[in-house]
Amino acid sequence: MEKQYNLEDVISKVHEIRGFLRSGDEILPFLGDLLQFLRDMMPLIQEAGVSLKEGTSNLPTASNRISDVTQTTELATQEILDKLDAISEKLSRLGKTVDSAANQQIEVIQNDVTDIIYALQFQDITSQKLEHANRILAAIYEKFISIFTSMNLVRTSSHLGSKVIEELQDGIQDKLTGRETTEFHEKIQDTVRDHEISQDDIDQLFS
Amino acid sequence: MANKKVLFVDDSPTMRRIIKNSLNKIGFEDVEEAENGVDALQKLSAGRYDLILTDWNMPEMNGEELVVNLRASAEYKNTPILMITTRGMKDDVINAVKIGVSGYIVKPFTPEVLKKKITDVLV
Repeated sequence: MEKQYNLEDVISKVHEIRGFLRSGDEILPFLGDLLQFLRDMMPLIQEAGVSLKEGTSNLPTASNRISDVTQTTELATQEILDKLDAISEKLSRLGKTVDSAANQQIEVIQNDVTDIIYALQFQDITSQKLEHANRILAAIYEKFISIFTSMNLVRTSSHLGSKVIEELQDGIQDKLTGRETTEFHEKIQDTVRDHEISQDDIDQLFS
Repeated sequence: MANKKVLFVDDSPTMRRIIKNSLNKIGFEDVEEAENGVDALQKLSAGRYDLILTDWNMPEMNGEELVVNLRASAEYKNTPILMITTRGMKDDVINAVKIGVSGYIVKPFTPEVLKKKITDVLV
């Protein structure tokens, strides 16, 4: 009796295995497709990762550049205002020593000086626009950093995720250290006072 | 106008110079500057001012917060406040009216506009 039960049990197991293999026949092509899709996607994801990393690492530099522009224009504007104040003072002193006809001319020049002073409001207006651009860059930077953090979370949540992320990051690192990024670096190269050279050195090169 | 004491608040050194220069030309002799709302509140608590000109976008404390603070105080609830800002959206102006700003100028402006708005709020 016990033997018969065991046989039925075995038959039942065989049916189960057959059923599993039947569904396996259906699942295997799907798994094959999925793996092929992942294989095709990996280089694209790596490329996106490289762009993301390069972009992120250069955002603080871009932001500093914007701040530099604000500081430079502010200093230049202060110098212009100093000069305009000095001109205005000289004109006032001159006005006390000349006749009324000449004074009228001086007044016209004074008005021009005032117009120039007011035109310098552009410095504050542009610096506020640049400040806005800086805030946008900071927000993008934070977003990118959170993407990298998410990638690390995927890495720790499963064995497969860990393997995929590891391969992705290796690929990204290879591309970052390889030639793939040359074009990007050429585009973002800082040509403004990047290689400081004195006028004497320049002149020597021409002599 | 010579006897009126004015405080001008702006984080931009350029704007502070331009407006101080203009206020002197208009006839104000007692003009003081502040770099932001916090700096302004310190100066305002130390002395009595008849007119306040303020920018909107500033670090530490912006112009909107400054105005709200002043309108809640006994000393400055009725003092003329002129907002001078790059913010030119209709909603910004409506908000400024709501919080109690007396006049509003959008940068860039001319000396004539500044003089007219100051005269308007001082009447």
